[in-house]
Amino acid sequence: MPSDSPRYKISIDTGGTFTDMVLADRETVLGLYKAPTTADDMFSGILSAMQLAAESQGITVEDLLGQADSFVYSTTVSTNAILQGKIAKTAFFATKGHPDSLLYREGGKFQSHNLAMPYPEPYVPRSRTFEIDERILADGTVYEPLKDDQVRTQIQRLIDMDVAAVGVCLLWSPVNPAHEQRVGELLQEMVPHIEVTLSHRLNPIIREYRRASATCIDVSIKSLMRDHLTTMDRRLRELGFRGEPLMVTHMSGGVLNLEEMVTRPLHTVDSGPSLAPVAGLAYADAESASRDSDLLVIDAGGTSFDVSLTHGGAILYTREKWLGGQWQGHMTGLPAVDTRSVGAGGGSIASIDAGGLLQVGPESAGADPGPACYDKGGGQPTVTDAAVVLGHIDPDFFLGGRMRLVPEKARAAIEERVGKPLGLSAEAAAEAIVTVSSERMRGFISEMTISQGIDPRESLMIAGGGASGLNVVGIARELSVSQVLIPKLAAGLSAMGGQYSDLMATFSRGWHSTSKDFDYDGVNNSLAEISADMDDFFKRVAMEGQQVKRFICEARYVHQVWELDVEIGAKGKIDGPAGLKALQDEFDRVHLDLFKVNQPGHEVETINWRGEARVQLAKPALLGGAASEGKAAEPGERTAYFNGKPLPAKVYLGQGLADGAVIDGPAIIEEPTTTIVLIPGARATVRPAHYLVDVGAD
Amino acid sequence: MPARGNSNGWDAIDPVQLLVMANRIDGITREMTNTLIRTARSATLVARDFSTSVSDANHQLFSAPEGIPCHVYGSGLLCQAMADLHPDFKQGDAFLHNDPYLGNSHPADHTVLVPVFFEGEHIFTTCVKAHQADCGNAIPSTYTPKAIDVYAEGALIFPCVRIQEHYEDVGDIIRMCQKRIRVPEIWYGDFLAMLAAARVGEQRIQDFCRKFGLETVKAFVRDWIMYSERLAESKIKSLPAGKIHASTALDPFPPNLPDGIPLQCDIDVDPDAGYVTVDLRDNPDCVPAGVNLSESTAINCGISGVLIVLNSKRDAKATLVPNNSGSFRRINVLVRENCVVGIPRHPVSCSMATNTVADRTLGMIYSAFGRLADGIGLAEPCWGSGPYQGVVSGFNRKRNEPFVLQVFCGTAGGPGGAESDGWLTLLIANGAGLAYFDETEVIEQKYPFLIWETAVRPDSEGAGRQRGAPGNVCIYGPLPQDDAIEVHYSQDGLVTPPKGVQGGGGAMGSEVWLQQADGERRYLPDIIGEQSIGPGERIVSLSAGGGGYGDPRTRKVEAVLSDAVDGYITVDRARDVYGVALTGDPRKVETLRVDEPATAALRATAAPVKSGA
Repeated sequence: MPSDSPRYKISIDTGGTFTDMVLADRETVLGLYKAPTTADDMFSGILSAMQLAAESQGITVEDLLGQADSFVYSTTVSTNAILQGKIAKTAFFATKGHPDSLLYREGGKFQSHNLAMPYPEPYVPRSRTFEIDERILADGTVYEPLKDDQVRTQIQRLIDMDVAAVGVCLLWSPVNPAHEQRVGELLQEMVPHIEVTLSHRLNPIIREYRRASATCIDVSIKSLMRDHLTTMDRRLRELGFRGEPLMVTHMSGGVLNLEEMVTRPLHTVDSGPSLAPVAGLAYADAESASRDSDLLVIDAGGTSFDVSLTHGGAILYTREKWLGGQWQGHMTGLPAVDTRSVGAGGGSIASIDAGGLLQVGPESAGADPGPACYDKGGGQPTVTDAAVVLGHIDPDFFLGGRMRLVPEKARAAIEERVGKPLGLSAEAAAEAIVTVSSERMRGFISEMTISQGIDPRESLMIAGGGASGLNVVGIARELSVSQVLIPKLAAGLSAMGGQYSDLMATFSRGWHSTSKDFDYDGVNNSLAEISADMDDFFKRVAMEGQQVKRFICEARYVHQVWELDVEIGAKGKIDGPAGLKALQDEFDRVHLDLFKVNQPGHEVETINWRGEARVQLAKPALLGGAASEGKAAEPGERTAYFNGKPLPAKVYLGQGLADGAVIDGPAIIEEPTTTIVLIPGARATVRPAHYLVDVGAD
Repeated sequence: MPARGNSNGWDAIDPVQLLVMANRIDGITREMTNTLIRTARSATLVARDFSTSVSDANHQLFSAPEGIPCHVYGSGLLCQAMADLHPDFKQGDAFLHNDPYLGNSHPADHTVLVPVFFEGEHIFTTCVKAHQADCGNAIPSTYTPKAIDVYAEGALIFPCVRIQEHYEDVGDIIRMCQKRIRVPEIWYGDFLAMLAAARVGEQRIQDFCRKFGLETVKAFVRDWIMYSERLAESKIKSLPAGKIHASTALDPFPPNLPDGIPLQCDIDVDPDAGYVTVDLRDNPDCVPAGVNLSESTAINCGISGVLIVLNSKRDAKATLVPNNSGSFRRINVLVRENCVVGIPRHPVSCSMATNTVADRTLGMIYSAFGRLADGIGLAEPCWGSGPYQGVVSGFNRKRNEPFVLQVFCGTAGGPGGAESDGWLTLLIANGAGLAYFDETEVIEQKYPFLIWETAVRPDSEGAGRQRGAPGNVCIYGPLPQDDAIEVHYSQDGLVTPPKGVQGGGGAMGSEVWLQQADGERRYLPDIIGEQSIGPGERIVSLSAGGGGYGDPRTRKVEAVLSDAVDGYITVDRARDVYGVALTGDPRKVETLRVDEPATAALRATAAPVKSGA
């Protein structure tokens, strides 16, 4: 192999429908490759994507892997296992008197007039929940000592029931872990074959439901994920991969090496969507005028619409990450990128409700039978059908021409099910469907920005996902967002994020104190422990790159119940009253920023402390060059409907557009993996790796 | 936008724009909620005992997507009071209203009203209501069942008083509250949060009017109300016709109510016309106790009772009837003056107008539909508000200050219904299951008492084809070295526990015990509890389950098995009540199996179960 041959970085994101791969060399991103996801054996979908990438470079997959230094892998295996209940037979050890925290959760319910919603099952059934006779108090005092014999009796029950995994979460273990540790020792002694997660090691925060939920989810997927990840690594190496350890993406938007990740697989949950804002930041960075804007990152596929946010260049996190829906599902309890998802997309079905109103979704035609225009027996009108009727989608160029649509079926379904009942023409009905669907997405984005204190009017929207280009400009206009950045490789936003993520891990301690009577020793001791955890982490992973530590305090005004994240710098110490004052001032500032009100100087309570250890990894430049050469091809033209009017819209092939070219709506830009609809008043400027759309006005 | 005019008879506004605008108004209401929840101070408020809503220029409830029903129904009455008492109300005003004789729910629910103007015209009113940690009552609880009138109750009553003018505080009112409310700092923090929420709503509504234009907004209001009415009408048309008489009774408690309160209603379902009438007039006069309903909570029982029947769908994608004045037009609730479930006359006490009698009445109404026909309605829910949701007070030595909070460290069971088993964390009928559940560590890190236990109470459910949810066991108290605490609570359903319908069984009612420092447990017979829990003592609260729906012997055998395996019911109960014989070791639930022949025999010969009637 010649010494100057390229060295590759591969990132893979396995989605529900497609497996996306982004290939980069040391300088720049080279391309996006998509292959159908193969649920029964993820590796074969990945191999197909790698074959496409290798072909584009004129080499074999073996050469591609042989020349790869780094392989970043984002998987849905853990998320799917949890949502489908395909997890290990898991048990839960809880403090005596508190067996039902996974069942009661934190209460809450939607739909105040609906008492027929089925009550959601706990993550671990009550039959496999066992109480441990012990009690520790809030200050760490042992009130009732642990009794080895009683623990052994309960461990015997695990053997009786043939469980494979046990999550241990005892009250106040973040303050005094002695009882959990002893239970861990007894488990190791009696049942070394059973997987164990101790809550204070995984997620030492105060709030027993969140800690227990994290613990039980983690342990339930431990062996599954260890097998999956080590098999993935082995198969890649069998094909010639000799690079650094396999990097697995996590819910905080970073990556962890294989050895680290198998010890805390909970972190892999929902990791794909968490990479979208990582890519968003990389794109925003390429648009110098937008570098400091807050970002609204959307990722729209056929069935779901995901949103994430950044503020001041940092991705926004949440402690309240639910799997399977708020209050209905299970909380992961770890700080995670705040990505929220709504079931809305091209497959959403339009219908008329009992009061005579048009509703779009939440029911979806999915991929099979799919929209009416797929002609696979789905007679229900969908958003995709509406886009076909409006002329926004070219039926001959759907998915880059890989699938031929039947526009007559789209029109018939919309006329029959929407047009006639509402007394509208097919085009007017189609536009109504797009409007209602866009409104749901707008409302969803709006509520998320409100809850995170972001002002859309001062934000840049990054629109990823194969389906976002169809209606994103109109949504942006309704949100008063002035510019939308649409990557040319929009359809692989998460895989792109894999190229830009850092090696990262988070460590927490729960230590309650208040500014009125601040416990400097207790807090600084917790921070020192976190700092030591981070040093250990840096040592263990031994990766090249700048090492960065960040410390965060989760705090609130006294008597509030919800905490805010407050940065306390890289030092990790509250240095006397001046340090406390700085913490309080920063809390006041964050509170004002988020809620528009604050009470400067008011007593602040500190709940949890957290450290983020990051090793900054090398990153390629965004895709550039190739597409900008040559003259712009002459655009085609077709009639498309906007605001109820048929207009002649120019149709451009994205690959033929030169850097800096300006395109005014009404127009349609067709990229191989996405279609961008420019409504009248909108203007797109072509950039090397993306389009920057000025949203304009009606 | 599609052309105007369509076959649905709207001409002012097209249906797509209608949906878009409705979505935005609901979004504004939710933004108000979000503002409140994130900045609130008291645990009560943070547990979600609050609601936000928007009423229209005619003082009719317009939007309340996530509100607690007994809070938001009265929004229209509150706004009407603002217009009646302050005909000069103007932009920049805010009003504090907690007067139960003028449309509010009960005095502990403080409401902030902000009239919203656009182009000089009053167009909406934003309304934020929150149950306060304390409201100045004579006893350290926001519920005073034994108060013979409002003077004994002691709450500060604000009959829709102006608390801001030109966006500036009226300091007198705020200072009054700070002098007469036990936790002034918490009250003021919550007041600021409520005001911020109402003002956020004001700003957003003004943006909304700017975007769509005043005339379009007015047309939208009219059409959205009509749409809501049509949805309610269409759902009522699917009910069976019939007249139902239903009755129940509140448990007696001395000295105020030695005979309890018998309650009844007459319901007329007229699907042809698309109306339901709920007549509550034939009920006792107001009583010398804190349990009288206010006008808004009385009418809400009828409205919500019917809406719960219409909207209780297992299918999460079903279209729901909106909770606004349009759907209310299809539900006639008849109430009279000076009635315990009607319009109270000052100075009777309405301290507990959102629970107790209100829960009895709401449950009586929706379970009446359960008796009308198999396939609709629900059984009776849990009754009472035991120590698991008591108001706890004491002195916090660590912080050197008194404390008072309502705990939500347990729950009680929802009723089985036509489509589903009961909701496990209903807590209380009028709370609709929306309340949050306190995590033990969150309580213990702030207050000087421990939650020793909070867990499912086995065998307490009303058995049924769809069973009620079981109740809860909740035990708490101070450590031996700490100070005594006091808890105020009110039970109900000891005499008449929750009943089943359509052959479903009754549920276990509430019980309270005091566990002394030596471990002995003493039964506390009081319906109304004002209990001191001394150092080392623990209060033991067993809450009610919900009633069952349908004959338990028709419940799916595998569901009975799984209830036994998961410890919701015992093996004995599976056999005796559900007619399912299980083999295996009950202490090793994984060994439990269904004995098919024995089960078939049991189910063939079974006598009907007691409905609790």
